[in-house]
Amino acid sequence: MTSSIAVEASRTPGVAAGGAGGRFIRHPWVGFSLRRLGGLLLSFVVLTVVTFLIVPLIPGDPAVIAAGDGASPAQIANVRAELGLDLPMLTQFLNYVSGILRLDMGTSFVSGERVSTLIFTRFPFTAEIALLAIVLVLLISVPLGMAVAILTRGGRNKWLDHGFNFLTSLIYSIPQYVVGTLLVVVFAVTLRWLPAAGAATLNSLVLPTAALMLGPVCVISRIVRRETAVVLDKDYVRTARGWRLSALRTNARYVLPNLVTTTLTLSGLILAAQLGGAVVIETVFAWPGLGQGIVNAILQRDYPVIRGIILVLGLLATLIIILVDLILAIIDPRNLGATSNDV
Amino acid sequence: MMSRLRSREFWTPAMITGAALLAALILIAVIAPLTMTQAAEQLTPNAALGPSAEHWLGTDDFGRDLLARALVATRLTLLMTAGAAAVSVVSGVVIGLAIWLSGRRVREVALRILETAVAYPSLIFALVIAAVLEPGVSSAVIAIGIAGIPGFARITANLASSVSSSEYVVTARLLGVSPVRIAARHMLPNMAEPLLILSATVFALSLVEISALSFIGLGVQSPQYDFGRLLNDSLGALYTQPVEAVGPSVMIALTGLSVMLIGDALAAHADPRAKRSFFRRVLQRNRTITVPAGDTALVRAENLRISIPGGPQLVKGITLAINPGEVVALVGESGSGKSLTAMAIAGLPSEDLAVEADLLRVGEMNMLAAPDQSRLARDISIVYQDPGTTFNPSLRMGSQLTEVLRTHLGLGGTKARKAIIDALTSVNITEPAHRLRQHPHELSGGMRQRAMIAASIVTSPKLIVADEPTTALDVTVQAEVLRQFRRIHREQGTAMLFISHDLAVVEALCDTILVMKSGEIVERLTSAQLAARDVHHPYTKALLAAIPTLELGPVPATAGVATP
Amino acid sequence: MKQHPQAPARTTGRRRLATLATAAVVVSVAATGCTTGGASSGATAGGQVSTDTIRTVVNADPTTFAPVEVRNADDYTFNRLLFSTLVRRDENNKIVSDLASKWDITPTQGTFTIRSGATCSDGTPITAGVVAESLKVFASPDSKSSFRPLVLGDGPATITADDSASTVTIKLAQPWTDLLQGLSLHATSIVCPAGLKDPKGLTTGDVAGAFSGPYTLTKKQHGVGYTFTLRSDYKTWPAYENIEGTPAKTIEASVNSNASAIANELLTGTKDIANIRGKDTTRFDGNKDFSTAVIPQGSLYMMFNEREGHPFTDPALRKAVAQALNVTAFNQAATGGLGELYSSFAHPGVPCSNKDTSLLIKSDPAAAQKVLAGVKIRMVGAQVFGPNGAANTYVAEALRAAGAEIELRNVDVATWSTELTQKIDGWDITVMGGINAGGTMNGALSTVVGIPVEKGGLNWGGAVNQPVVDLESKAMTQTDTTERCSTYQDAQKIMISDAHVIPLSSLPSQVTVRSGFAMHTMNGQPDESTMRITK
Repeated sequence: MTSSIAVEASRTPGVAAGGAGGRFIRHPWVGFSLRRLGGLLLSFVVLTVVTFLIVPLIPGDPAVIAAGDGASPAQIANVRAELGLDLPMLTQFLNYVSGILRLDMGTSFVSGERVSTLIFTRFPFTAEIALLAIVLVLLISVPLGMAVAILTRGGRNKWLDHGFNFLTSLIYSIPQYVVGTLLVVVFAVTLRWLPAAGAATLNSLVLPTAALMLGPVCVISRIVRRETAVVLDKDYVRTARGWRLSALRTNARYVLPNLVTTTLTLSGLILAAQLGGAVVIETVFAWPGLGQGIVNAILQRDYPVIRGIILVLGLLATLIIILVDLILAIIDPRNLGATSNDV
Repeated sequence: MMSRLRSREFWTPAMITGAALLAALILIAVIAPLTMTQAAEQLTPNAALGPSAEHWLGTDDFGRDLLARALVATRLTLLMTAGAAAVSVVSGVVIGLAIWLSGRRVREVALRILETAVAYPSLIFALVIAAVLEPGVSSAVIAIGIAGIPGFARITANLASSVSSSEYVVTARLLGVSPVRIAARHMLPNMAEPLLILSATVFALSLVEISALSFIGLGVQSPQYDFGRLLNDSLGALYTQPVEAVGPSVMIALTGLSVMLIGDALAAHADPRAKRSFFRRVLQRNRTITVPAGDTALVRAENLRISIPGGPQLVKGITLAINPGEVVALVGESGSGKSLTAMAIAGLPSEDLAVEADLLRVGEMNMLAAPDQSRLARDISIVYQDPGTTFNPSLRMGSQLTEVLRTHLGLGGTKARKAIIDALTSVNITEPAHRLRQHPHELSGGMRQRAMIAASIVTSPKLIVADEPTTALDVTVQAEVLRQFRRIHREQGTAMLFISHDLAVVEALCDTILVMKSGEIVERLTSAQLAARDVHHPYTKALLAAIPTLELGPVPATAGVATP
Repeated sequence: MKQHPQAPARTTGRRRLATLATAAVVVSVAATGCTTGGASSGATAGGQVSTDTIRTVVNADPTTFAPVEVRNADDYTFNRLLFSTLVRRDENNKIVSDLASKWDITPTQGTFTIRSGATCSDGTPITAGVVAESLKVFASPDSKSSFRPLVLGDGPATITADDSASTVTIKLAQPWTDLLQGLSLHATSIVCPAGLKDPKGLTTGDVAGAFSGPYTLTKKQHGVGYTFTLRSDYKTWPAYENIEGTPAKTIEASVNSNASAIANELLTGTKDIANIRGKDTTRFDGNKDFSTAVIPQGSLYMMFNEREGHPFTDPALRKAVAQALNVTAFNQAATGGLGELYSSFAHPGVPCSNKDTSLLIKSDPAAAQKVLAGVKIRMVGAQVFGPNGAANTYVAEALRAAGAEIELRNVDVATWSTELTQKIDGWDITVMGGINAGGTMNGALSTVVGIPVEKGGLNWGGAVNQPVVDLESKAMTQTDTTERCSTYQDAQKIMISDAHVIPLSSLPSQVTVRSGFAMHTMNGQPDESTMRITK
């Protein structure tokens, strides 16, 4: 969620939109594609190197874990050789890179399963809940933020202004697992309306999604609200008022579309963050997502799985940013020159 | 800073609540470890007790008082959170500035990497770092701190890019001041305020993330304890002894709340919008006025007063009339009240102002009431200054220009388009049908302003209020736009209220010229008098003296700044 | 067997003992008003979908499906569903028949007659030859199984099959009276020829014909869940007595490591049988819809780094540590008071485990203070012992209260086991969670006596302790139980009185079963192949 701060931040009064203004590339789509492709490649290279180097720094010998309880030193040494951990670092790195180039992330130190299998088993669960959450977050926080901004514009309804700030701050500050647990106690254990844990049925999605949404709803509705306040002050809203358009028409046609850039960018970032960052919710609800996967892999020093998940999450994050930029560029070609973070 | 702290405006309810909470927390952080450590840490046989008079929140499995633990943990939590936030902010600022100061190529690459890093799930980032450093207090601080760097660096880079285009930075560069010096002396001070506000947000975020790290087991390890650790310790008993979780949950929420409220208050303080006080204007109930026979004026304002409620009067009781087909200019420098007057007449006064008058009517519409919107839209058209932002950037021109036709005149899409194409042609816009499919940014400034004029005449209004319609345009375009106004007047005989600070502009167009200064009309001239330079008021003379100079209009301070 | 893995593991014992009698029960509910046999009763509100499926939970994904590689509790769970062993140990601690219908045991040899009619999941008959080939993998000198020395001793073992007589003979190089019990362990399960041909596939559970047990693995979703289907041709159930009910056609095991969430699932009717830990176990107290049995996952005790030059080579110092601790307070901190106080480092289910509490050093903080004041102690603790390493925290705080300058590092199991075995000069004391999955005194001792790890042995403490090693060798030649136990009692007396170890408590978990279902635990270890639907 550091990501959301980036956008929230750039919206803070006094923080003008910076960015790549003034930079010219002959054909906008060419420059756009080149830069995006370059970015993707660069991220990929950096991620590959970083993940390779950082993971073995975690203290604790994977061979000891993989060999199991009470293994003799000889058995541990055998396992170490089997896992290729006795090779020089450079050899290991070359093996790793050549594996990745062949789209092979190796096999788990612990279970012997292919890393790709492990990731793709968990990924749908992660994607399911993250996508659902982001859609619902948008459906709730955009109208909410707009409504609050409109109702408090020009110093109207001060109590709503303070109340909104207070409530969103408070809810955002309540730790996610407390929220999650409260939801379980009320809706699963007491009322028995919904499953308490697991991912067995469609109903199982409800509680984790709700718990996952709450924080982002607070953040995004605050941003939409601030953003709306900015838009409401724009000349084109004045123009619309001069045309004596109804409030509904003004807000729907002159305010809402101009929030799209910010909200989409933000949603992209939050979606990326939730793909791996929902660890807490996954734990509370025993949801088999990638976040739990990486936590388990770290505890088991399962290097290939840790690396695989980090790499996949990084690529997904990059892809989501590109996708958002692409959508924004299609909606409004002026965005071709800028990057999403310049919002 | 001190003066700000004393100002009443600064102490909004949010600021008072936030600051009081934070002060209380800091007090607890200072005092609790001095007085309650024994109760919080010493093992006693009174294990796992429920709440009682002696132990308000009960005791844990070690027989330690849970309230005391929650209070003592405040110090470590605040220190850790502050530490992590400091790591993010300081490194973020340094990296952000460094990126901005480095060469183009390095900057491009760095921004690309930063972009991915910003999107990367920071908790994953943090937990890998925490695992590498071996879980504990310092590794949690470093991990969360590092995870927050990309976001902050990105913001700093953005801020720096906007600050660096300011005049003195440009000047300093030209003078050959070293980039590091520019950053330290000029850029940082100018970024201080937004960065401070953001730091509050980073603090709140670090708090949440450190406690999440503890939840996963990669945060603070016993025997040390922060809120997150205490909460984690209570998890095993969440269903059997839920009161254990109350202390740390409440403390985390309060800490987060206090900092976010302060952040909100700081942001509000920096934002002029937030300072507006709403004023509910009392509207008259009669929407129309019976115009007395013999009063042929289209617009009549008598003793029009505009003021900030409870504050100074900005327009001090002016009286004017516009006859049908008459072109009246309101001239004066900015702050003279001319635009306020015009907007009050158009029925669109700024919302935080009080508008009073003995009479204010356009036709028979009472502008002190709320006249019928469709009638307003048909009868009064408004042309604004600054064509760059008068159109909605996300809609095509066609759909905007036909708004009034479709909403208020009930025209279908095709008819409306045809009408607007005709109007566009009449203001010399080439390929009008094509323009309608374009977005505002694809048109030049002059073209947009002419389109605005086309939209304003298409309803055949009785009155066009033009508020500095030429100010933002360059000279040749100005001339063309003025020509259009003259033509409209000539062909359609529409009355106009034309606002300008430039006598030269109005000279050729207007029948009557009203010179405004400090909210009063100081001189009334006919065009003939003006042409003959038959003026009396020294202010008018001063305005006239400025005529020979070419008026270039203010250049936008930061060219190329993206419009939303 | 020793250290405690990520996930809980369980223990085996050989002999029914008074203290464990309550644990050795059939966990089933027959008389709670739900015996009408109807599919829908109040207990199953909201969850029970069909009556031929049992829904259970594992704490983590199994690390392997190959018997010789099993290393944690969830491996054991699935092993019992998929594989058969030669023998089993029943709840009365009697060895009963599984694949072997008869056996003949001497201290150096065992001969097993293989029952007829047993088949592999691909239809291959399980002959003496098939059994021998599987056991040879387990017994080979470079066996991957850490259970090998516990079952067969350190020396070579020769395994021969006589298909005409349907017998398998195991010859040992040294006397090893743990052999028969050893052959009931998961690690000695019989793998069918298809599995032996494809070791990698066996590890990941992908060889459909490898299984010799009642179920086959029909669905595998790592991190999510596993589905097992009953083999229609499987008739050769272990010869346990008093197993009532019908085996489920389908067993669905989902992965969930959060005890609160598991308890919620049981209580809300979406799971039928699960093993849970921690305070959530008390949520089932007095609930008539569930039956529970507490089993020890492991035994907690203090152990010391007794290598030359380390402070705790001094017995006075070790005894002072024992005096500084209050076992009841330790148990409250580490298990929320749910654990059982132990009088040996081997849990009570282990044959010959000491029951004499007078051997234990009495708590005496005042005396401890005199010795420990100012002593610098480096403690490395594993987080899994007690919630967030509360067991270690308690010990550290108690020693601090006794005046010691203690530095505690609470780390995860991977770091803990690595540090204790590879950075042997970096620690002084630790809380050990002995799992002793083999359930033998030999297994319990191997962590604290014998060849140190740095010399290729299994002893983490580092002191050989020759007198105890000698007693151990003597016990392995004794076929008479009483004699053996007397020898082991002497060994335990040395270990406990000299404070080489300080026995603390059990690390409990609770097998929780919804009414209408049953699962048997055998001396503290659940046997998942006995899961039944009883309504």
